[in-house]
Amino acid sequence: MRIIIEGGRVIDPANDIDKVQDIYIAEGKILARGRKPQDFQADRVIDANGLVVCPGLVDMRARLREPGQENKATIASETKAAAKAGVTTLCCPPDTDPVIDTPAVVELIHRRAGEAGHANVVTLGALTHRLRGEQLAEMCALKQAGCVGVSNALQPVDLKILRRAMEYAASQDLTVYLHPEDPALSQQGCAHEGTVSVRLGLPGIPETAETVAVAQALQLIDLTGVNAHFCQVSSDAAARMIARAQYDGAPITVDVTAHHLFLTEMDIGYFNAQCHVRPPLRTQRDRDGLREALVNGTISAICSDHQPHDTDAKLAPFPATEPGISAIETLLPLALRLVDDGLLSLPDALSRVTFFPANILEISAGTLDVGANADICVFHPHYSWRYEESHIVSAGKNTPFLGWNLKGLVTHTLLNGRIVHEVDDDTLHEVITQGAYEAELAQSNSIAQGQPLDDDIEAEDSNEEDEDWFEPPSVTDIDSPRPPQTDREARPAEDTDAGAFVPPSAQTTATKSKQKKQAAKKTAAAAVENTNVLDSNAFDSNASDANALGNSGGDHQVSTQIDAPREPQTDSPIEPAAAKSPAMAANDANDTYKPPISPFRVPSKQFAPLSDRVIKTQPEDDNRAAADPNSKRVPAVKDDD
Amino acid sequence: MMRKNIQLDEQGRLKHLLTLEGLKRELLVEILDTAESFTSVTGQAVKKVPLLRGKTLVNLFFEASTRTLTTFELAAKRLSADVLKINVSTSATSKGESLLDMLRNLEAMHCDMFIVRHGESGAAHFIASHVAPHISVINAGDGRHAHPTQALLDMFTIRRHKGEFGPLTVAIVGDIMHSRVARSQIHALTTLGVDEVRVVGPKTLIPKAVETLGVHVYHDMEYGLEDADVVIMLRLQKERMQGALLPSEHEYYQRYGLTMDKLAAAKTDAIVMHPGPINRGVEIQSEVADSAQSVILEQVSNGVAVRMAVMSMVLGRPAEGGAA
Repeated sequence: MRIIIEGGRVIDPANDIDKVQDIYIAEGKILARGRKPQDFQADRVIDANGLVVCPGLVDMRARLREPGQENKATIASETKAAAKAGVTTLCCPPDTDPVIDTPAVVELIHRRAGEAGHANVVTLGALTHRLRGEQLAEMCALKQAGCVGVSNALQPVDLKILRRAMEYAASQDLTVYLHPEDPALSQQGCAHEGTVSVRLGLPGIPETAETVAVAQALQLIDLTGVNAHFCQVSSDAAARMIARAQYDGAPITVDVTAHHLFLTEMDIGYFNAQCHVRPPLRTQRDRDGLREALVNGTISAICSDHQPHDTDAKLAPFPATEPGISAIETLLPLALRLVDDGLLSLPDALSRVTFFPANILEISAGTLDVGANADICVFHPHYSWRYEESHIVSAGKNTPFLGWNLKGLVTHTLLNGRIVHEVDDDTLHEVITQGAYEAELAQSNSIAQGQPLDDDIEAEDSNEEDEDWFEPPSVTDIDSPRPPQTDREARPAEDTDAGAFVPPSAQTTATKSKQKKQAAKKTAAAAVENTNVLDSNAFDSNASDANALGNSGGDHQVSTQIDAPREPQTDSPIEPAAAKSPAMAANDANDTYKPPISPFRVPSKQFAPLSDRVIKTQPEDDNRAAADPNSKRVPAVKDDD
Repeated sequence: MMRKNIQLDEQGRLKHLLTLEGLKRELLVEILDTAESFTSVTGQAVKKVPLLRGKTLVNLFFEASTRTLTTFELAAKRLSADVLKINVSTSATSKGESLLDMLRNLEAMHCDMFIVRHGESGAAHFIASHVAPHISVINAGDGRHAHPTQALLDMFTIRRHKGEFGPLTVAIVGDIMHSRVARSQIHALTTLGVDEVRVVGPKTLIPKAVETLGVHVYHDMEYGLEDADVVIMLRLQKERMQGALLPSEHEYYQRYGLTMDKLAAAKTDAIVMHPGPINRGVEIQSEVADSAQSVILEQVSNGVAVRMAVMSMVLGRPAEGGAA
């Protein structure tokens, strides 16, 4: 089937693209973007005017319950939920029953997923035989069967076995996925050990259960040289420890669940079992620390940690309920909420659920490269709706987000060029009209708040619109969180002919290369200057150093048409943190390592940028750049030293 | 659904009693006053009032208990209610029937009140939020969470001896970590405006962040009891030695066992309380337990009056005005 997705705002973080473009799909692949290939006859035209078109989401961890717990959910039911949520690839951890420790189980899962045909499923293999932590699993066979990494899921492994497993995995070039939790310290706990657990008399899981496990794992990673990924870090302290290790060049990546970015132990209220998760929801401070780590790049991916349950699983006194949230359908809406909260730009937020997780999993997904599989998510960024149980497609209805107002309704999901989900015409119509109204409302709010609309900028922009679409960078080209894209060209009202558009890409690309070149010369002082520019909201700055910032300013203002942040005022000072990071990362390449100032302070390169503006607790004594969330796959910046 | 205080009905009256947290001081005082009026019943020749005639109460005890179970039963009978006792350890839940299924069956028998003891924190909240609307739930102890009637009878006892709560210093000594009684006592004491609430024990038995409940932490018995008006001892369960929380009973007794010597640090008219059952020679010296300062047995008899008060307030609304 040949499909055109027409007139949508295409956001492809992997390629730095954010502009209104048409996408041409044939034979399951993306045939072209922007320019219509000759003789292209579409069987189907998807009108994406007013909608965002992005790579299909990649969910790093989703439990499908099959095989073993089909009473809770099946591969078919959960991949269908994924399709509805815009997720085209999801990764299944090995704690199924039977455990994914033989190629047969891997094949079973892949076959069932293939039969269902709603989403791609990749698997992690077991680290130890039956996850018992006694004997190594046949990792190589698992890898050959298609596993993208190995993990012991939530089952404990003692240090001797873990060391051996890491060594072996390293020699087989397998990434080890770790759930840092020390079983001796977490024991039978079911909530964060703190104010809520003491109040409700719930057995607590101390923060140290995580930090101790992280500390041990970091030492073993150092010893064995294995590529490691920390799954769903839940505490600020652990995030900081990992940030420091990343600074030192350890090949580590990290993800966080969407719910840990929004909920805290307080949400347990009086025993709300929907908030029973593992690792537990922690304090406000931890939540803010995780957000900070996400913004500065220590944590590069957001996952759902989808865990569908039957209703009985949550119908018991809190400690007796099963942990987990049926979360895949709230992944995109919550990621978009981070944009509204002013933490990430829209392209950056999308990169955390598309390109970065794909990169960590080392799979070819999460991009809209020409020639890539046409796994595509089309959604409305503004349309909001109240999340009700009737909306849930997953077999598991267990979620604490019922009643929340969510944004980011997925209208179409394409898997290998096939439409696997689309809303009916009435819904689509409502989404577009109501969404446009809400977008307008958000925009007028921002005007009311004194944000100038910078329409002039777009008019002045030169246009080399196609500059980057025909040179798709390979994954390894991407060196760091990209600067926020300008949304200028993404005006829904404009004609969809890409040529007519102001090339955001022109400026962005220019900025990027410029940053690369100049970064070496930039001093920390320049970074400070940038910061100041940002903080003062000086969007009209014409200083060349502030180019990227000017961009992001423009992004903010112009974007209100499609992407109006709810709270522009908080938005603007924060967003540029990401913008700066490439420059900073590049900076680091030429920077010799300086030890952290205080043993208890995280290497400030990771934290200074954000904390200066958001947390405002750390002195501006060190302005070295933000981490490179991508350091693992990409020739890390460090390696250039 | 869990956000609002499910213990109260639309008029702010008591519908369930699950925890003392979040209840107003006026309500606690009302319970204590009501209990006061019931103490006379206990002294009468015919120890019955007809407040709950025709009502059926179910004692649902998922954990063993002697005092609490019998005082609830006694209180219910003195209010002329019919009492059912379900011995859960031998009933269906051990055959795989879920807690909820069991509740549905009991509801079908048209009961009016469940008095619940359960080993998991939050069990009473869970049951209260899933029973039919006409049923009230009284928490007789859930996991480590709460034991509100025990705390109320302790408050009742304190008020009888000390009058006002305001100027008091109260020390709670022992295993705070695993104690639902301590948590409820802390909520009651802080709500009633006690000047200073202290918890005393080794760090292994004091939960992290306990200060957020409004108490001061002491690890030394002598400082902890200094000038205290009330000393509440908690039972030390033997299995705590296995969890490496304590080296031995002997050492615990040396450091935290209440002896006449240690009690000397408190005010001379300080009262000594204990929710029972007592481990003589582990957390309390026999001489102290049997001394004039000890009000331990009085607590037990006050338990009946307080539980009568709670039941009548929850179920016997029409007569509530007369009782209070």
